[in-house]
Amino acid sequence: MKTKTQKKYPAGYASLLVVLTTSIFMLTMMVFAYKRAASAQAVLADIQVQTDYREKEEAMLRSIVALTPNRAIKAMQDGSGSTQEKRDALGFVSIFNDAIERANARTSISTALMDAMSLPGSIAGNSGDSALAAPSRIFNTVITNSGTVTAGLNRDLGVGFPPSLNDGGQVSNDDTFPIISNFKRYGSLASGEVGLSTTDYPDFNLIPYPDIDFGYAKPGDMFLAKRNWWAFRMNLAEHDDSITKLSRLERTFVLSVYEIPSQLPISGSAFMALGQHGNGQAWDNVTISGNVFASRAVVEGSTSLSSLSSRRGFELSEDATIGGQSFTQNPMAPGVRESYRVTDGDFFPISVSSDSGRAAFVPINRGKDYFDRFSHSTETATISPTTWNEYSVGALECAMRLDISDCVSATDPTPTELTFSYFQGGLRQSLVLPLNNGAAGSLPAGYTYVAQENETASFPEPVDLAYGKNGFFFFKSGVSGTIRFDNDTFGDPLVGTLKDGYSKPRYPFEVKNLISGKVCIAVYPERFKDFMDAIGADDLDINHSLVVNVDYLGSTKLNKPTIPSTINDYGVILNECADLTDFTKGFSIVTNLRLHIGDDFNVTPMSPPAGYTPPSGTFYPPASLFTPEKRYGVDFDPFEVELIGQVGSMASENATNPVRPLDATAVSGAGMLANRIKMNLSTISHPAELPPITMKNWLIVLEEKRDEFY
Amino acid sequence: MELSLVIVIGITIGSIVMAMLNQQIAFLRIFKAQSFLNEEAPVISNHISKLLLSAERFRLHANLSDALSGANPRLTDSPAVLLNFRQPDGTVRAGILSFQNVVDKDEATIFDYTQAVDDTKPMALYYFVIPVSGTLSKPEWAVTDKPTDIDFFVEAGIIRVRLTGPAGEEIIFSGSM
Repeated sequence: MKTKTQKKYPAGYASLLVVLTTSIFMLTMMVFAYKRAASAQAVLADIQVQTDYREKEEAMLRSIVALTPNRAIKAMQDGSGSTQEKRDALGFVSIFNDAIERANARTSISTALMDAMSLPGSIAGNSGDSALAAPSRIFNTVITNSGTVTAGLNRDLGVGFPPSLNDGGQVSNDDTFPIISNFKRYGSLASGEVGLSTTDYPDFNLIPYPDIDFGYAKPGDMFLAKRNWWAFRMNLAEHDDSITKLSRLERTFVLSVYEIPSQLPISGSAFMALGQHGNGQAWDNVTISGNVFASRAVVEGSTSLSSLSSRRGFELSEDATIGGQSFTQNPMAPGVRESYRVTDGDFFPISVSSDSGRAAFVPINRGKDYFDRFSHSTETATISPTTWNEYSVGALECAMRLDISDCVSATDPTPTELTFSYFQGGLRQSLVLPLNNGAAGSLPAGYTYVAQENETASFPEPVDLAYGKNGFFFFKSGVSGTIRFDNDTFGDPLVGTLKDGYSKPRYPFEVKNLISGKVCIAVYPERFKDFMDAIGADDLDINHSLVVNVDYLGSTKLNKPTIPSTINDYGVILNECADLTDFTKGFSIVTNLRLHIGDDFNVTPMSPPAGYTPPSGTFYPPASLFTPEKRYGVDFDPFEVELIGQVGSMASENATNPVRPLDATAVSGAGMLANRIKMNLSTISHPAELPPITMKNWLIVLEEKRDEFY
Repeated sequence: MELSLVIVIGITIGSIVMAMLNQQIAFLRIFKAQSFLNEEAPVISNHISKLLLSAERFRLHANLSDALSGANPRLTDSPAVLLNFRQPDGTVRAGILSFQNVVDKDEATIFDYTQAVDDTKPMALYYFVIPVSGTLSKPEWAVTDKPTDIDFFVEAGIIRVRLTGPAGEEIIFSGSM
């Protein structure tokens, strides 16, 4: 019988089973391993994109801080609003676009760099790379409003936002452009939100200094400023979230431009030497209370300052102390600030503006142009209702203008005509004053009839007198007592005609020469009240500032003054200036000529404004003098100079030699010795102390309004 | 002879299979051991970096209570860091990152931040928002409970954070201030 073995399983099935089982097991393990690796890679990829977005956002925000003041200035300049193309280049859309570009946010590796690395045409693996063609998907307004951002103007955004400004209907485009304007002021929206009454102090008020490392003031301390601000929301990831599948929280930011009037004991966007006079003597009789700001500074000798802020850095002598600290090592070295804060408190007394990431400090320094009205042409078609020159040139800000408008000849600079302009009923009026003493064409404004020929009149106060008829007059200036109007007293300007006598308060200015022969315009501030009343001008709270210039554009005989001044240039003499109390809002003088201070200046106190008690207990009208050069004394060198207030400089920060802000030069040209210079310099802490004309600075700060706190 | 050859080949294949298996297991162990560094630490770094980079100031303290009161600031290894955030309305608000005992999820609204830290109990990194009243309530966020230790410290003015993982692995992140 033939039997056949029946096989239950095919040959090699065991091997097959082992191989299959092992393979499946190992494949499973490999898949699991790859899954873990892929998972880790996905996490890292997401984190990388998040990091990439964060760094791009930070770079964009810093760029916005840098770009905004530039665009704000351009929006105030001539023709900025003349064409759509020009307007488009200055709006927030343009700022955001340029910020994206500057932050290199569209690509992690530039084409040029790719080419340099011999990788042309490569595709970046960074999923955050994007054309970012629609910034409107990244930047949004905070509320529903037209424009690109939500301006803090004429609207209250509620808790967490700064007090808003009012504009009186003068600014229409602040949601689209970064508008800086004198029309933006503190009003009803900020009432109770700032330190003082917005009715009394609408332009600059007391607000807290932002918490930044740049120490123009101490963070949180109240300082004088006006804060313009614009709020927006930003989310860089939203632009490409359909591709990246990544979401980020939209964040709210407030971009601020603080307009800061100069208020420090010593400040200026100049290269300054602090601590010693030019002759090497130390500032022995100088008291400084408050911070000092200089674009660049060198602190000499054993100078002691409470704090020092700078834009471009500084050098400290070994013996100098700042904030009571002697810095044996570079105070800007990494870790010094952090160590100081642990042991000495939050406020580090030395800072440069670059210490704060999202902050920038911009001194508004027009240099020599600040003093001269005639070096500027009229600006029209500006986006901002306040033009750049109106805003930044002190000479143009002055209410009263006194120009030397004609002279004898190109070789004889003796002035023959002055032109004085002022405000009357809110409108500018001009008064041309011929300076010849002979028969004039007509009687200048301001004279009133007093008496007929051969009659007498009494003048208890000095006055200017005119005597004549029909356009022929003789004059006398500064006359007091009993005067008889006759030919014996004045001479006969019109023989054979019965003449009249006229008087007016004395002109508050006249031509006067120094002993050196230098031709000057003497200005007498104490005379302005009577004179302005006589010509019907607005009060001195309106006509509170005077610019003295040379109209070299209107007369070919006149030359543009040179700086520094030469013997051929005119000068300005300041006399009869001890009592400025008629100027209830203060008094300022701006000139591009050398200024000679011949009398005590502003030494008569007056009652402070209601609600203000000066720290010293005595209040003087706030006053400021802006001149490229000052000399003390007119007829002789003074024995001593004493100054209370603030000192600034508009010299260049790039100068080779530093300016010495506390040096004093006498009329003879000799530098005064340190023991003859006494200065008590302090910080302006109240807007009542601000003079009509001040230097300004901008502090640009970008802050995040963090949702978790609200 | 053939049988010997088969046995040798079989043993060789088996050895290779075992080696590969062992390698795969080793891979898995490595992945597991490094998961903190690969997956958890970057996420923690991302969250901490966001906060540190947004803050204007920082101050290191030995514990949450000191951070809240401002007592005993220091620059050395610290489990708590107080962060100041400048707000647009002129105020300065603050938050605290604190590595401390796990907060009971069922705890009432008030968190007892004065209690001493017990290293033997589970720890976690929390972010507290300091309210205007100054009294802390529950943490705003629980950032992570994976690290066994977290220390903030300052080197050359730069704040750094050292994370120690469950396997003792360490990673340090830096954030410029």
